Amino acid sequence: MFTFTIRRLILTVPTLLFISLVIFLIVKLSPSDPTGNLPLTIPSEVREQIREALGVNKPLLVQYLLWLKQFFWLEPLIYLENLTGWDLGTEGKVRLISYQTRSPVMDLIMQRMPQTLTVVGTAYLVGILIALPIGIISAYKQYSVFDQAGTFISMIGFSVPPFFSGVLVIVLFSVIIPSDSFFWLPSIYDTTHEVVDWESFKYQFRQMIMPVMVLALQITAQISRFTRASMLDNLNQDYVRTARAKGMSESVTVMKHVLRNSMIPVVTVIALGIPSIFGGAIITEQVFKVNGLGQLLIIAIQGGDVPTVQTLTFIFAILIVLFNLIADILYGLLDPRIRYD
Amino acid sequence: MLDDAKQPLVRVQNLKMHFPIFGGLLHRRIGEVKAVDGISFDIMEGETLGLVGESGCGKSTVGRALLRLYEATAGEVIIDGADIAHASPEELRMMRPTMQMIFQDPQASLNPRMTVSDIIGEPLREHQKGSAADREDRVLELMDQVGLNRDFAKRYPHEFSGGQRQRIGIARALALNPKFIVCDEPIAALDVSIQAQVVNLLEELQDRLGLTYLFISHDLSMVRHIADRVAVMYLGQVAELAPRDDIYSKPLHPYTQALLSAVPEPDPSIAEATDRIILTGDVPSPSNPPKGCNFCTRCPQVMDICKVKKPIFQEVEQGRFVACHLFENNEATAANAASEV
Repeated sequence: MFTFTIRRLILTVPTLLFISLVIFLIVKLSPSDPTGNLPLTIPSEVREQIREALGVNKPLLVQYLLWLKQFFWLEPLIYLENLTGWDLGTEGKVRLISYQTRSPVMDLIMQRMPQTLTVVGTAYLVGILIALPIGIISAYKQYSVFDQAGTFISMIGFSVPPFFSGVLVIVLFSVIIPSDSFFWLPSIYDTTHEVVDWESFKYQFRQMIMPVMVLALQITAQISRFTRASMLDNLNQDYVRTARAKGMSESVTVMKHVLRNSMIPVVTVIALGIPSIFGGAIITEQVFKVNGLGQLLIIAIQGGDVPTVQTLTFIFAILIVLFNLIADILYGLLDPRIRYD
Repeated sequence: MLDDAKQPLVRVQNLKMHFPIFGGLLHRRIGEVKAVDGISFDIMEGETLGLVGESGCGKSTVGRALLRLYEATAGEVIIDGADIAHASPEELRMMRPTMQMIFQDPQASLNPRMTVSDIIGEPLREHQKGSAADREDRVLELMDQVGLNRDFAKRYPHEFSGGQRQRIGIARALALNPKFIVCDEPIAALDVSIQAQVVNLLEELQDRLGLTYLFISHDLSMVRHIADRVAVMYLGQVAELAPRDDIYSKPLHPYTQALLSAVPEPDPSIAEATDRIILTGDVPSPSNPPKGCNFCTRCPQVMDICKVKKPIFQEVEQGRFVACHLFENNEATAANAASEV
C-alpha cells in the first residue's frame, strides 16, 4: 500500500504538469483581453503599455514557465517565510498578481477560502448526514412509502438546478414571509459577519440555512441514491443470510454486515466529491452572494484575469487528482480483497 | 432399527413455503411459486436425514424454512421442543444456538470484510458471555477441529481455497455447540477430492459431538455414504422417505427408481445389464403444479387416478413412507381420510 501511494504520488507530477499546460493554453488562447474592461477613453497606446507591463506580449512558453516558477517555487517560499519568519530571499520578487485587483492571487484565494469552506463544507456534511440514513432505510424497506418519498425527493434534488431552487427559497423565506417573522431568513450571506456571542451565532446560523440547504439537497440526492443501491446489492448477499442464521440481531446484521460492505463504494464517491467543496458551488455562491472561491472564479473569468483563473483552475485540478488518489487508497483500506502491492 | 422411545429432535408438519409472484402495472400479486408444498418428516437425535431431489425441487427452501430463514407460509417446525415457526423474532434469535446451517456457496456466504476469527467468533460474542481471550481460544479450538491452520485466523475469506472456506463455514456453524445442523449442499461447490474430505469431516464431527444433520444434496452416492434415512423430493413434495439401505436396494416410488437408475454404475457389465429409466418431459412449473399427483406428467407407471387425486404420504412398510397410488392400501387411505376430516 505504501509503495503504491508513493508510486501514484510520483505519477501525479507529470499529470499535473500536463494539466497545467492545458489550462494555461486554454486560458491564454481564449479571446479575452485583460484591458477589455477598462474605460474606452484610454487610448490604444496606453492599452498597449498596460499589456506590456502585464507581460501579456511575451512568448507563450516564457509566460508559461514564468507562471510555473511563480506558482511552484516563489509562492510556497513566501508562505514558508510568513509561517516561520525566515528570510529566503523572496523580497522584491514579482508574485503572481491578479490583473484585476493587483493583489497577489494566492492572497485572494486565501481570503475567499474560509467562506467557501464554511458554506459548501457544511452543506456537504449536512448532505451526507441526511443522505446516509435515508439511503439505508430506503433500501431496508424497499418500495415502502418512505422509499418512494425518498426516491421522489432525490429526483427533485437531481433535476432542479440551484439557480431555480435557490431563488425559490429566497422568494419563499425572504420575500413572502415578513421580515419580522421567526421564519424569515436573510437572502444575502454576509461574509463580514463575525461570531462573537450567542446572538451573532444565531444570525450566522440563520444566514447559513438557505445556501446550505439548497446545496445539501443536491448532495443528499446523489449520495442517498448511491447508498440505497449499494445497500440493496448487499442485502441479498449470502453472507447476510449467514449472519441471520448465526442469530445476529437485525441491527447488527444491517449495520455491521450490510452497511459496512455497502460503504465501500459510497465512501469513495464522497471522497471524490470533496474537491467540489473547494471549487465552491459557483452558482449557489452567486445566488446567495457568498463571496467564496466560486464567485472569485466567475469575476476573474468576466474580467479576463488570466492569472487568477489559471491558478484557481489549477488548484481545483490538484485537488481532484489528489482526492482520486485518496479514494483509491480508501478503497484498498476498506475492502480487504483489494490489494495494490 | 429405530428406537421407538426416542423423541424426534426435529419435527416438521405439513410445511408449506409459497413465494408470491408480483406482476402487472400495479405490482399486484398474480400467483405463487409453490416451492415447498406440504411436507412432513421427523429427524431423530444423532441421525442424518438425507434430502435429495433434482435442481429446483425445493430442497434448499426446506432447509431454510426449517431454520426460519424464510417465513414459512404454513406448517409447524419443532426443533428440540421449541416451536420455530411461530416464535417471536427475539425468541427465535435465542434459539439460534441449537440450530445452525452450513451454506452451499462458501464464497458468498462469508462476509468479505471480516477475518476468519471474526466470522467464527461473532456468534460467540452475540450469544455467550466471556472475555475476548476466551473467545479467541474457542475460535482456535474450532479451527483445529475442522482442520484449519491456526495461523490463518487473521486472514480474510478470499485468501482461502473453496475447501478451506467450507471448513470456515463449518467451524462457524459449530461455534455455539448446536444440536441440529442443516447442511445445504455443503459439497456442491467443491471438487471431488475436497468433497470426500468435507463429508468425512462432517461424519467425524457427528460421531464426536453427537450432531443431527439434515443433509441436502443432489449427489445420490454422497447421500448414500452419509445418511441414515433418505427423503426424496419432487416438485415441492416428498415422494419417498425410507431408511438408506432400503431405498437404495429397493426403491418404491417410480420417481425414486428413475432417480437411482441415473446413478452411474462403475462396473460396465452390470451397467449394460441394467435398464435405465429415462424420464421424458420437463419438471412442471411449481407455480402451476399438475392436478393430482405431482409426478403424473412424467411417471412411467401413470394410472388414471394419478391425474385426478393426490396420493397420500403414508407408511407402507415399517419405516418406509411413500406418496404413490401404486402402494396405497385402502385401510390407510380410509384412516387418513378420517383423520383429515
